Amino acid sequence: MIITFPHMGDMSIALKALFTGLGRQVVLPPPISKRTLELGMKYSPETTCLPFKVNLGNFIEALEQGANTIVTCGGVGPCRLGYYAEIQQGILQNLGYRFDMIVVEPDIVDIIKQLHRVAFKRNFWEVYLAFRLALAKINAMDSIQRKVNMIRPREVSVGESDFIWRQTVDVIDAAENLSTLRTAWHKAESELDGVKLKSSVRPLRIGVVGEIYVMLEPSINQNIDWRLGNMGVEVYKTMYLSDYINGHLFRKREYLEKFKYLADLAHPYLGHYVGGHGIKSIAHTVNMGQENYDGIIHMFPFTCMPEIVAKNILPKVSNDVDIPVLSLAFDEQSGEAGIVTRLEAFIDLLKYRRLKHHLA
Amino acid sequence: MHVYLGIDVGSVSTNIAVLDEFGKVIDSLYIRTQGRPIEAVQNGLRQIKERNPEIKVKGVGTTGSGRHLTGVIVGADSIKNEITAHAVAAMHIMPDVKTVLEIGGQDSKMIIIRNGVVTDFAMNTVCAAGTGSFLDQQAARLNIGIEDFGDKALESTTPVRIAGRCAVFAESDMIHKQQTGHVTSDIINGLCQALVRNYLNNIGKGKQIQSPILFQGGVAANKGIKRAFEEALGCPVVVSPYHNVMGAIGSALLAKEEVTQTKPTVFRGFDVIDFVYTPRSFECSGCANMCEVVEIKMNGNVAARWGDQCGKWSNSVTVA
Repeated sequence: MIITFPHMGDMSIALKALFTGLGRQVVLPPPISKRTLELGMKYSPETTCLPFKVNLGNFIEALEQGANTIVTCGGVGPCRLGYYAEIQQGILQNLGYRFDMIVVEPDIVDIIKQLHRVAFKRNFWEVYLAFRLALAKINAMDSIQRKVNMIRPREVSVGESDFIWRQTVDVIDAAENLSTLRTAWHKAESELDGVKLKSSVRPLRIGVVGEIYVMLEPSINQNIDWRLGNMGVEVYKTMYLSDYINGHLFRKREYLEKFKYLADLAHPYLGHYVGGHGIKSIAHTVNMGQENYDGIIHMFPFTCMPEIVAKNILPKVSNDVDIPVLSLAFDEQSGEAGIVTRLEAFIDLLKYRRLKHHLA
Repeated sequence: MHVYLGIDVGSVSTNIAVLDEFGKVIDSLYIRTQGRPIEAVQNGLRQIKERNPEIKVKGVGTTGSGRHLTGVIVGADSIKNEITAHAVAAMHIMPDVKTVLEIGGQDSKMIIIRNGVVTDFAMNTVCAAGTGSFLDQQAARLNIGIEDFGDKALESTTPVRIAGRCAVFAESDMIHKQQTGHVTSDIINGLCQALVRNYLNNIGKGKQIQSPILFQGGVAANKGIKRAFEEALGCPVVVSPYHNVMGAIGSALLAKEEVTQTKPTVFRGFDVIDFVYTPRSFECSGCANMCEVVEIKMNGNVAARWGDQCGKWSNSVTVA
């Protein structure tokens, strides 16, 4: 059993730790490239959403390199993610690949059951340790990334925080146990605390809402955190992998309470579940409008149904809570120039707006 | 005479505006980019210099999809996106403007302005059916000069409905109408209405379109489109007197702001007309990002590099 899985941001680091810890060999799909996208587009239904195509490209490239077991996620609700695994399996079989596919449903009991199936000669304690290390890696990376997004628009020497981040990712990837991981994490945090910041800068604060895959995958979203950071914007992403896990899988109390709070905020605009993150896109926009963010960027894959519902409601929300919203649809041909022009214009809009509020 | 230059390098046209110190437009130029932005800029500047030998440039701004490249070539004080440039120009020409309709060669946008501040904007994403290039094509197919297209539409007496959702389907609809015997002027008018419908449905979706409305971009010269907008919106639409060079005017105004705030201009002077610029691009193999790096040489020396995410190439250039 040689395991592979789709890419989504830095998720591969955690999954690699998990499956290695379960005693399995792992083949990572090569980093997402033009070829990945071309392969995915060639064999996917034309009108399906972008993550489907990129995932499929990942699988093909990993199978080419010797993987024989694909671990991927299932899903429930109106979002097409729930169909991904079945259709991708069919496409890959028609192409002549021989492999097993393990579909993990977003449910902690199912996950434990599936992990048990994957684990090779490991007792319960060892499975637990592997699981714990993988989660700790996700938490560490998300926490550091949040901090980098805060520092980027303020740092005196441009690129310093990104340099620390890139180095730390490698150490986290290599960490074989919790204590090495924690040392690396704390080292990164203290190095980031030492980054020299420009005094007297009050960067624009932009909240990012929308679909999780485009939000987390830099090769698809044109590295939007980095771009905005270098344009002098503090980026606050409303979704990281750790948020998803703590909320949807472990159903931690603080997250459930937050969901409840968010659902109440969205309720006047959207009172029922539309799949994906549609309700949260609206709720976070209301919430960040109330918290005096300067603007919202709403991002989603072209043809994403839940987010299209949200997109059509957002102009009303934007008007009511008085916060500008820029909706960006990402597709295979999303040109860099088009995105940059819109981001620059949006930032100009927010700057003039702040200036006006300041003068008023 | 002290002036500010604005250069707008778009996909179809390259425009230059010359503004005096009070923001008055004293000269402007509209030429085709023809896929060679560097030559277009050099050519345009040559014409400007010949027509206005007395001018002394105090600041230069660039905009349009070729703004970064042009900024390097001429030495620009301000390099700004076309949405901001168009908004600044619109407010300069019509201070109380609330809505800007802009239709260019390959893009179209709508800018919403309230109390002198941009509050919302939209730009076409996946469809070209509502842009100038499509009108250009159809005029050529019907053998009508693009300049006469609008007047022809105004001659229409009977409305003909053309599907405007997609340029290809609009064309087959037009051919169908023409083969069944409809008058050309009615078909052209139907096309104008279809284009406006498509624009308002796509770009104008969810936007609060209030008057005063300013119409700019190359397509604003088309009287048929102007009338179709007025019919659809139920209020007058004003065409800017400088409608086809508004981006350039806006970038000249932005340059003016930039140099008064800080330092003298970084304009390389009209000598750039005869400089030799050689661009090239390569794929960096330093990491998995595989950035496409663009490098531009000026008279044999590397003047700028961009396109890399980590700064490895762009930061290694010392000559600005």
